[in-house]
Parts: sequence; C-alpha cells; structure tokens
Amino acid sequence: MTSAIVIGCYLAMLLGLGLFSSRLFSGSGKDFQLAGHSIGPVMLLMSLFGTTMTAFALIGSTGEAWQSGIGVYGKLASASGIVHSLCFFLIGVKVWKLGHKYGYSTQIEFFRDRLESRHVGLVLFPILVAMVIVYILAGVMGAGTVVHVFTSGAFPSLFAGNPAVPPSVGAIPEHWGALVICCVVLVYVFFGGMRGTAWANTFQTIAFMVLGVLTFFVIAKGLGKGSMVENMAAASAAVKAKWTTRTGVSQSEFLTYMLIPLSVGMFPHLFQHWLTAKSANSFKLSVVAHPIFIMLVWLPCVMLGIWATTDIAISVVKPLARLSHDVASDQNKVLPMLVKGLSGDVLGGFLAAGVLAAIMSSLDSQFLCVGTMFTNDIANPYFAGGKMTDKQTVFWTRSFVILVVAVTYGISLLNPRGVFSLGIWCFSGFSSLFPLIFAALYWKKLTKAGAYACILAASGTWAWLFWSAMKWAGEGKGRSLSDYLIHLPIGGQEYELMPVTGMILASTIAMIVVSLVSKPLSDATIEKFFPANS
Amino acid sequence: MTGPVAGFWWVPPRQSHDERIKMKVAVWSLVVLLIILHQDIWLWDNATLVGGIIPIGLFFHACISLAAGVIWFMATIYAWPVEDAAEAATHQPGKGGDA
Repeated sequence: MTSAIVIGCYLAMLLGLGLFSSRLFSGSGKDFQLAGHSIGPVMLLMSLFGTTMTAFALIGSTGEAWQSGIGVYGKLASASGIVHSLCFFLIGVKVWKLGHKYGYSTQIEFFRDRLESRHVGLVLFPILVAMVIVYILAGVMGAGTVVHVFTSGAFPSLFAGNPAVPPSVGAIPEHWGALVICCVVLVYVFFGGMRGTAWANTFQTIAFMVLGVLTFFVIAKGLGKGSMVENMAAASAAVKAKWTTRTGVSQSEFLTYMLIPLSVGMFPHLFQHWLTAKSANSFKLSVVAHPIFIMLVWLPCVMLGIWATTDIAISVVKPLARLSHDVASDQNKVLPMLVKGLSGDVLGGFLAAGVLAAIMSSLDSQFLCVGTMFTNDIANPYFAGGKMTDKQTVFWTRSFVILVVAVTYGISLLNPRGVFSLGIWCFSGFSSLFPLIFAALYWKKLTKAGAYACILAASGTWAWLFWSAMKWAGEGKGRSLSDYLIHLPIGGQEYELMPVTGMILASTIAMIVVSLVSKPLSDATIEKFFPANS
Repeated sequence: MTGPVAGFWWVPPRQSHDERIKMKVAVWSLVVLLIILHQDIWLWDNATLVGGIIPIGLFFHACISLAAGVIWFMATIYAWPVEDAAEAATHQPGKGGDA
C-alpha cells in the first residue's frame, strides 16, 4: 500500500506541475507546439535527456547486464554519449537555426521546403508515425507492468489477481496502470503543450536520476553485513568472468551497434524539442552534460545487474534464484526484485515513480509530436489549405494527441508483447534515415529524387532484413527478433553485423547515386539553405 | 584554456583564423580518437576489477563517457559555429519568456 501511495503522490505532483505550466500558455499554435522558442539550457538538457532515456535506462540496463554482462554499457551507454551529443551538435543546432528562421515545427515541414517536394510528407509521415507508435506502445505497456509489479498486495479486496501467481494478488492490473499513466500524461500535454512537457520532463529527469542513484546505494548496503564498500567488493569478486568481460559479444557486432544511436538524428520528437530552444547556445549544456548524465544512470544499473548473478545476491534476495537466463522476460524482473528484497516499501514506491518518470518523459514528447505532425503535415496542408489559425492549430493538435493516446492504449489492450523485441528495429529504422537529414543539412547536391531513393532504400532493406529476422526467429526456440545479425564472410572469416549496417549502407548509396544523376534543386533553394556568406 | 565566462558559457581566448582552424581540427580529431577508443579490443576479455569493485572494461567505458563530456565541452568552445553564437546574442525569444 505504501508503494501505491508514493506512486499516487508522484503522479498528483506531476499533474499539478503540468496544469500550472498551462497558466503561461499564450494561446498561439507555436507556443503550444514549441513553447514559443523559450526553453533555456537547463530545461533543454533535461528535456532531451529525459526524452532519450526510457524505462530501459533503469530496468532494461540492469536486466541486460544480468543477462549478458557489462557489454551493454559500451553498446548503448558510452556509444550514445558520443553519438547523441554528435547529433545534437551537427544536426540539432543547424535544425534549430533553420527552424527558427523559416518557422518549421516538424521534420516534414523542413524536408518539404528543402527538397522542393510538396508531397514528401506522404511518404515520410506513415514511416515516422508507425515507428513512433511502436515506441509509444512499448512505453504504455511498460508503464502498466511497472504499476502492476510495484502495487503487488496493495489492494487485495479490489483486485483478486491470480492466486496461482502470488505477486498478482492485490496488484493494480496492467491495463488499469497503463490507463492511469496515459491519462496523467495526456492531461499535462493537453493543457501545458510543449511547455508543460518540458517542465514535466525536467522534474521527471531529476526524479529518475536521483532515485536511481539512491536505489543503488541502498541495494549495495543490503548485499551483506559489512560496510557498503566491503559489500560491493565482495559482490564484484563473486561475479563470474562471463559478466565482467565482453566475451559474449563479437567485436564486429559491438562496432556496428554504434550506428543505432544515430536514430536520435531522425527522431521526430527530438526534432521538435530542438526547435523549442531559446538560442543555439542553449544546446551547449546538453552537448556536454548528456554523456555524463547517461553514465550516472547506467553505471549503477549495470553494476546491480552483474551483482544479481552472484550467490551473494541470491542468498539475500531469494526470488532471484527463480529467474532463468533462457526466459527473455525474466531480465526485466531483476531490478524490481532487488528493490523489493533489499529496501522497504517507501523506496520501492520511489523507485517505481522513478521508472515511471523515465517512461513518461518519453511518452509526453511522443504524444505531442505525433499530434503536431498530424496537424501540421496532414490536416493543415491537405484539409485546411495551409491556412489554419492559431486557435485551430491548438484545437487540432490537442484533438490528435487525444486520438493517438486512445489508439495506442486500445492497441496495448490487445497485449502485443512482440513490440518489446521491435525496439531495436524501430531504432534501426530511424538510423537508416540518418543519411537523409545529414545530407539535407550539409550536402548541396542532394536532390528530391535522391531523397526519395534514400527513403525507399531504407524502407526496402528494413523490410527485407525484418522478414529475414522473422524467418530466423521462427526456426529456433528462444530466438528473439532483436538478436538477429547479418553474417558477412570476408577472407574466410565471418563477421557479425547489426542489421542497421545494411540499412544505412543501402540508403546512403541510393541517395548519393540518384542525387548525382537526377535534376538538381533550384538555385533559390540552395541559396536559402546554404547562403553564400555563411 | 578559455577566456572569461560570457553569459552562461565559456568563450575561447582571442585567436587568429589559422589558430581557430587548428583548434577545430584538434577537437574533431579527438572525437574520432574517442570513437576508436570506444572499440577497446585490448580489454575485451580482461576481468580485472579496478579498486576491487568495477570491472576494468566497464571502468574504461565510464571513462569514455567522461572523456566525451570533456571533448564535447572543448567542441562547444573551439568548434561552435561562430554565426550561431552571434545570432544567439541578438536573439529575442518569443512570447512566454524563459520557460
């Protein structure tokens, strides 16, 4: 019950913050979608960091370290520290500059102008929205699971659960938990727009960082009877070499994993966040602090994950012994088990709030982004002749946000568990379009046909590799779509590559070749995006 | 290394055009070096514990994260587009003030 109260208080505070921020809303469409370009360095950092970090940063990183060892830090955390900041630096600042100058709110508005293609949105929109929806769906379902796990036993008279599965007794069912989280996010996005989202993200990012570190120290203290440092040393000494090295991952896979964080360059919700910045200088703090923030969140989680594999941890948290490395979903139970086993209900509630904060700080931006895209990229150009008023823009954005929340929640009720293994494919899809945004900003010779070729090559290779992965996963028990790799034989040796490598290669080659042989864009467009005096 | 704080960020000392180019090249070379170091094949199967607690492979990558912060800090000072800084200085935010 205590955990449920803590979670409830946290959600109430979040609602209050969102509603308060709406008092600063000026009523204009730009203010609702982009907070009137008023976001300073600290809030931009918190928004960008909170948006890029999902529940995976806490629960997933611990679970993956428990499953396969420390390699997950290099594959995702330190790689993202380099590549995300690179994207903020090379893409974000330039996008902000152009968006501020020409009044863009979405990626498609930018591409339409840059490529002299009125209908490029019809090709890009379904691809971007489909990938964001998968991302949202994973967040909504993850939120329901977190609420369910952390409210176990809180309401025995209300939720009977399944007596054969004791933790489900008295726990808020997953679909109710997901509904509550969707409603909370919907309320502060609906009333506060981008400003409410940025405020909530700042609050939530602080929450999940502080609570993550706090949880680490409490668990480390509980691992033995000695001091915290002695406990940590004893647990580390007990970890087998498989988890303290990267022997389980090939060097070529590790190398090509670094292409996955390039997805940040094409996330439509980050694109929108970049445009909220007050000035280009606002990006500097994000560029510098992002890698360090990632380390602060990931390092403790990875340590907890490898400690959980030891007999020391199993002796103090007995349920860990029930987990199997052969059951894919078991890894997500590691952190909740450590918290429940080694801390009280209050910290358990706080950690649940922290995990929910990580989920919600991504969901809010995604909801608002899809609502903005529907309004600006479809409704305004095709149904309002490009003449939407501010009032109509706010109305339609809010309406589409409600629609997106309702549709994703509806799909989540079908319990499509497969979406979790789609995560890496979703990120790969965004990464495969990275060459397009990079060329649009830095390559004058990019043409409309080249851009279409890039999009089609990216989608085509994605579909072909995904189909191959489904076939491969169906051929062996326990194979997950996310484990599929390309096997490239060179000189008698076989190299394992992430599928994203093939996608980026195909989209880049198609874009360059077709651009070089197709009709160049007009001089006016080139001058507009690459002024001679810059 | 840097001059006084301007607004909320550090500004580089006065430099000639050639010096600025050299610093930009140096910063981007460091970024490339960081990407190469990230692969760290030399610690692949090393299970040594640093300070008796952190596996050396993890410790190395935590250092990569810190180094990324330092190198990106240098990039914001020495490789930041000059026109953006100038633009930002004259920019007037829209309605709503500082969010």
